[in-house]
Amino acid sequence: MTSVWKPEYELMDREELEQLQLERLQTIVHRCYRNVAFYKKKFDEMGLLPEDVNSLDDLRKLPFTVKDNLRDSYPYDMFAVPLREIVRIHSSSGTTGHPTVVGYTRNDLLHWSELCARMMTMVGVGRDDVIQIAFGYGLFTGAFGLHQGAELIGASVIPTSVGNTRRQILIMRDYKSTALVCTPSYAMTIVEAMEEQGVDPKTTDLRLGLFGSEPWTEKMREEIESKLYIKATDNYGLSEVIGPGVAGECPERCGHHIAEDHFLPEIIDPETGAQLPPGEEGELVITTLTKEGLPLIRYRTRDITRLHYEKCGCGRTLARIERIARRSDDMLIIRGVNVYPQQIEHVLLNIEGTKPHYMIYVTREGAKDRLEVWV
Amino acid sequence: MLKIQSISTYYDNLRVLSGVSLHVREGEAVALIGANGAGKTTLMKSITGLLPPRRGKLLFMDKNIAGTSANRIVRKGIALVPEGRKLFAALTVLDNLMLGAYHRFSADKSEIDDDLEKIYEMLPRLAERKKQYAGTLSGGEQQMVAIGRALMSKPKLLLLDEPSMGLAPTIVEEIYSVLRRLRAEGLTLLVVEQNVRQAFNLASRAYVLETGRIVVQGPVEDLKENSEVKRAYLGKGYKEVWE
Repeated sequence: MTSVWKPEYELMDREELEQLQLERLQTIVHRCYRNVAFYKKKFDEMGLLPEDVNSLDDLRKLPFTVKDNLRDSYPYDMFAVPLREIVRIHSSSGTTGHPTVVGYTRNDLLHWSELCARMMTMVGVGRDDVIQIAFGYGLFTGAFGLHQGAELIGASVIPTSVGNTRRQILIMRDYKSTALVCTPSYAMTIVEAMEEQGVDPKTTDLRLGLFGSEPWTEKMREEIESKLYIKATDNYGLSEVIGPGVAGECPERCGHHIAEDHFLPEIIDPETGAQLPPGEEGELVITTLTKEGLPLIRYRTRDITRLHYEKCGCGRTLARIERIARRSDDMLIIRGVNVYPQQIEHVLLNIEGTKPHYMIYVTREGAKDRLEVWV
Repeated sequence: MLKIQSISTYYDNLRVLSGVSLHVREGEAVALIGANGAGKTTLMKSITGLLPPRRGKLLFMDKNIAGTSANRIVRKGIALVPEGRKLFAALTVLDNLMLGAYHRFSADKSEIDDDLEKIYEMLPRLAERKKQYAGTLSGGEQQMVAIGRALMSKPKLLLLDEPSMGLAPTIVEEIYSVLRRLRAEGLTLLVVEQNVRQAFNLASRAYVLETGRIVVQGPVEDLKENSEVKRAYLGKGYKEVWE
């Protein structure tokens, strides 16, 4: 297999896709109501029955799921299958309370691999590629998702995991890696280490970067591309939903195609919870359509973006989300002014001689907020 | 080809189908499985106009057919092989087959003869017994007459309601090889079955109906791995079930 490309879904006519989404939505709602106590209770409280979902528009009647619901169900209470059907467990670090635990059935793992492979095929990964995966292997979903996807494509996978930058560079050069998978900030660390060691990035075989798991700016993309001489691509996912593979960029770079055959996206007003029309900025909410282990209804991602349904130049009919503008929950308000960390990064990158590593210190002196940026 | 959106069907005040959605694409074979009383036959009756749904949409070739009478639905190209065959026992095999083409009376007779020849070629046993009364045939032969009768209406979509019911395994295999051949020839099929293994061999996608609701659906490969399907429908003999 040289590429994983599913035209029957990726090029699906909108009407057919909506039929498929409706069927899958109804199935998942029935299964959640029957198998997950949390949803049964929520539905009963709201006087809802699964058969009240008669169209995709009825989605707005359904309750939201938030990260705290997953924390409160620690560890397994939101699983929709018995534990013996689960073949993989991942989990968040739990720095802000109980960790969130996610479980995959055999089918979930197959779908996940395929989704990652589709996303990687979209940016041009093929079986001739040598893929260096410098994401941390472990409870984190990023490394395993792309690892499985790359194997499905038939590429050569080097699971270097994260850290030991000197060895990463050695492997990249000697093993002839053609694609690098890591966070954009770690790509910058590699760039700097190469500069220090006097390694010319041009001498490597690297041609592609698949970066994700943290928001980054176009400015940073330009910097990585010009310094590593690669095409840098962004992808989007979150472990609660499945991990990487939820959405990814195509060569047109006009947003991320969301795998709508598996995930039903909406944009809502984060304050009121009301659904917003396509093109408007708001919080991304995702309903999983095929997940067996941990199906989620209207999961609030806290990521702020826009949804676009116009056909893309690449031919795919799947809707696109814009690159994540910000989180609905890490905005700082300094003396009445909204400040996003990405804005600070943008300013720093425009100053000659600075690097995009910085810390923000927010203090309060009397009634005045004070924000310091340490570079 | 066929799109069903959230249909609910009632017997008087008893709701049998609660918001069922399903689709069948052209040239596809789709299986519908479920236990007794799940509503499988009711769904067949809803599609064919014998028991119109009270709510929801039924689209066939992009046209709404909800509320269309059964005889008009046959003309539009949907034929049903009903559960239990429902042949005219006192009529000959040939008469039964010809009745399948009753709405084509204005068609060229030679066209109907050609179709009959094709059916005899595919189901040679029917040619041998064309003068025999349908009631005197074995169960498997009757099932073949029922399939032949449905094909005589020249359907675009063939619905089959438990074609394996009450038949010996070798006969079931024979019936299914006929269905696989029809599929290969491009006919679109929707098969209701309790014999899940046979249905999965034929179809590329399947739906599981439980108490009037679709609870599992997807490609057959996925369903074979689904624990609920394995336990409920593939039975204890299925090699991966050890409980």
